[in-house]
Amino acid sequence: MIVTVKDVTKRFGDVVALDGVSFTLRENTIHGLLGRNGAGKTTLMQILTGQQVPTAGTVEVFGERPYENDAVLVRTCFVREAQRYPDDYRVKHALRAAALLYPNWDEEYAQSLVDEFRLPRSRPVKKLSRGMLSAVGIVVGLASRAPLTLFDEPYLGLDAAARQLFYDRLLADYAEHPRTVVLSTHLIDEVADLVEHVLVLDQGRLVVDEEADQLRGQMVSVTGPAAAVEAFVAGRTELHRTTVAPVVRSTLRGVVDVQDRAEADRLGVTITPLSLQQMVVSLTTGAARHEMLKETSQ
Amino acid sequence: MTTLAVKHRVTLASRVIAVMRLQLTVYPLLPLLPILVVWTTFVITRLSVINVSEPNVRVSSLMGMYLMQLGLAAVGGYQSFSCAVGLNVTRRAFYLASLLTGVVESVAYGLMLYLAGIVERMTDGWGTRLRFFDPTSLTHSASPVTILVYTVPFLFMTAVGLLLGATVKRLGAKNFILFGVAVALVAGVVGTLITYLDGWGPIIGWLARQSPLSVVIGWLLIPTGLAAVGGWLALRRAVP
Repeated sequence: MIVTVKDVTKRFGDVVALDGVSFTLRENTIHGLLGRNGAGKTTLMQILTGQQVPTAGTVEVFGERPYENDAVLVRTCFVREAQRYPDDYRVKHALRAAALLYPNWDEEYAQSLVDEFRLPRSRPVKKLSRGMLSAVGIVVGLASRAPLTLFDEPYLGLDAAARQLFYDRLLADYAEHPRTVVLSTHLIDEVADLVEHVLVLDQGRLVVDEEADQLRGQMVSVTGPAAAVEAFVAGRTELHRTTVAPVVRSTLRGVVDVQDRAEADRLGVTITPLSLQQMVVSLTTGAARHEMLKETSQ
Repeated sequence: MTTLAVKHRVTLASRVIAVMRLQLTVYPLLPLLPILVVWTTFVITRLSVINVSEPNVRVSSLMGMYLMQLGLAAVGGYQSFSCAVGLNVTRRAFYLASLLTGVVESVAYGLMLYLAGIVERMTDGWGTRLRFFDPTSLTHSASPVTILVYTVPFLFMTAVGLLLGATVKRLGAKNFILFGVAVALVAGVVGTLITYLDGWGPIIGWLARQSPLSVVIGWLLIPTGLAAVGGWLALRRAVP
């Protein structure tokens, strides 16, 4: 395992940013780190890269503590949403700085990405638009070819075309140069096909740690007349229900098999698998959230 | 498909050198700025005393060079910390690189002033009995120890500058001001206590018994070392 996190808690005064979080990250896998604002995603990535120290618990990256560890950090690239550069830095300076610090830096690839993202090399970083600043981070993250690369909301301000370009380049480069990637994002549907493993944080607690394929089949929505839905839901774990009379939409947890589908046909209800985004929304809000938190605390 | 691996062995020394290069990325000639300022001032001073038969001894321009070193260390340390540590450099590598850069600059500046002082004496003050680079009795010597007389104050300014930059980074600008007020209050209380206990006499007497040389190149190293350690303590938990 590239990363092993055991029972990590991080407090800032009275605020508990992370609460007893434990998980591992497998080598050469794209992990989606998902969750609402303030869930603790950035704090977790800061701890993985030694920028913060946990209040309790242990973190191992490449088998060692990351804090003040050159051997670990030189193999790690953390693309922060709020990466700062000195006032007079231009785009070319930011790339030169990255080239100096990342041993696997691929200058040719970096320059091709700069062209693709249409970054003005001589423009001061502080005069870049939000999207251009994100693009600089993406170039650094991809061209660094770090064995562990973490992207924290890397798409802020990027238009749809630029975001798609990022996903395409990430996948292509990952295929050619496998590495462990952690992608923190709110645009879950956009990365749903990209991520192989999903971690969901909610109010500092890890509520999902699953392979993306396994997770996809675990929640469905059932839509139909109230009585039919009521009959189908009986005996199953219902997480959420909305009623727009006379139609009821119920979110269920659990795998739906052939028999279930046959029963649904018989009752006249429609079963639809939930998208990753719908699942995360469902798991971090309402009844599903309470159930998850209950489970994780046990 | 092959798994990525770091191509060459990475040591603390290689990281320190990388950070030193990073700090020179934007303005590789920045360390020459204090030299440029002091020589520009010298030229202006030299031209202004051409027709003066008894020029005054001038020390303010050299002091400006020392203050500039303090400012560059503080601002440079403050500004490049977030960038370097954000790009996964350890705080230790960053701080060592900043210190090492300061040491190299201090020695270079000290050597330059020492050599300029020698030329100044050889030319009878640049032909006008001007004492610009050799303004005090401490510097009025060709002994290589004089290099330290010039260099150690630069080291002191570097360490204090890094301490200030690191403290701002650790506390934030607002808390830094409050911290400065608190330090000034403590210093005031200590000064008052010394006055109350009649302690200034012994302190000044002790200082008077020291040779000026030992104060400048000896005792000054103690606050320099304390400032350097303080800078590290402030920076070691700072967040970029």
